[in-house]
Amino acid sequence: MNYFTVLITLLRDRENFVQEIHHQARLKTKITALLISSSIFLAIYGGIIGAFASPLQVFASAIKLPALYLITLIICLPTLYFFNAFFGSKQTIGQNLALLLTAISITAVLLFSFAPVTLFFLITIRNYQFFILLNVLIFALTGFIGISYLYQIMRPESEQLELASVPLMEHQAEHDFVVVDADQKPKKSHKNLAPEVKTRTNILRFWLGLYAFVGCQLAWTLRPFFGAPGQAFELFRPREGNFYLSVIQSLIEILMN
Amino acid sequence: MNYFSVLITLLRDRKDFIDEVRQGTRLNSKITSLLISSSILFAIYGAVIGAFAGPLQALSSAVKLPALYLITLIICLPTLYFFNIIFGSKLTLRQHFVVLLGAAAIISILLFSFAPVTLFFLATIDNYQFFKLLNVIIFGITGFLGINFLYHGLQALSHQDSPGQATRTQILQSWLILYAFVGSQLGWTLRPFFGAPGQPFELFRDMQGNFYLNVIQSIVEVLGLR
Repeated sequence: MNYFTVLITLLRDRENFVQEIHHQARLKTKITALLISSSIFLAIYGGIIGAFASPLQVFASAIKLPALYLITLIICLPTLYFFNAFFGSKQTIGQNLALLLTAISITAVLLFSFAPVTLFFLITIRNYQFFILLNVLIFALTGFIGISYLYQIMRPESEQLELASVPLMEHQAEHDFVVVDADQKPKKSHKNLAPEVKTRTNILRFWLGLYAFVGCQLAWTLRPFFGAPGQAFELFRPREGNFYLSVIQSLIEILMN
Repeated sequence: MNYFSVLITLLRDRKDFIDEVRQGTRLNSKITSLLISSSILFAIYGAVIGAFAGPLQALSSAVKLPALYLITLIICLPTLYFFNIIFGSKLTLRQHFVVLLGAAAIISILLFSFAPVTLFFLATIDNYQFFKLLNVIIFGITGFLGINFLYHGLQALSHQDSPGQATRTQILQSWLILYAFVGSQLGWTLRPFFGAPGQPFELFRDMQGNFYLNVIQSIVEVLGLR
């Protein structure tokens, strides 16, 4: 149960947790704990969305959902690491992994917190389309929160601030009422940032794009997660084209007609 | 593993690397390690893109991709060196060579960092045109960053305020165009790297068409406009 204490520490005191990662304190324990606990949470939520179709689908989705998040992470990690190193980051690949896992764990916990709601609607409303729409909303919301948190902790400013341990109090006092808007706070207070820091922020944005790109395609490959009603169980659907092509094709169809 | 530590040092502390080149410290060991490690990384990425067509293609692309970058470099090196010498540069041929190799090494490590992404799309999307376009983008990004390093590195090296600095900057800029020109032509000559689907393995293709026309055709086909 040690794994969950790490996760609870993360949820309670995120600033401290990220700071520990920046200082490489007990990195391996953190990575293992986050990996295991987020897999479990994602598996639980996957099991619930699979329960819409059949017991077999429950098992399939319980494996597929953690796989979706973690494989995407592994695929995209080297790109982030080498590009950041190219623009002057001193972080190791372990630190990068830990930071990314932090964001995924937050997404997983949030998804888990929606599990009773999803389960409730699953039992009371037997409507496939409604269930899918509800889940699109939930995944979008939790994904957005996880990604914006990732963006905050991965920004090079945060790395430098943590390492230099600059007294942050003055800035916080100045911008006391815009604490939520953490995105703009450091930009205002550090106008003379090195151009490399700006580049690395851009790299992070580019990487988030790549992450979404890979994630969409992987999700497309791993379908079905829900299992359409009236269809027999299938582990994977036959591969028909790819996500982007089908999006472009449906756009063209809409525009042409 | 020592070779790769040179590579990571280069990637992280490019200023130190340039400083060492200026002082001429351990140039020979730098050349060896950069040559070996960048060849290996290029070969890995070459094998990944060749795997689209088959094992034979993977093998031939793993040889071709390092050859592409390193031969282009060797073809264009004398031009840069002699033009710089004429306009008052004091750098040796070997110093030029190390900086060019450094740029190639940076490209190789960035390409390597995209290898999982490419491999993933290779496994999930069976679309030749999409795969090709993805790789055009990847090669574009990595090449741009490598050339960027080359440009600033050579500028920093020749920055001993001797006469002819402005001319040398212009030489460098025109040389980069020459480099791109030779590189894309050589890339076209060494085809196929990917191996078109439904075609038997061939080591080299007949010479025909040109690089830019082919890129435009791919875009048209992927968008389904034809």
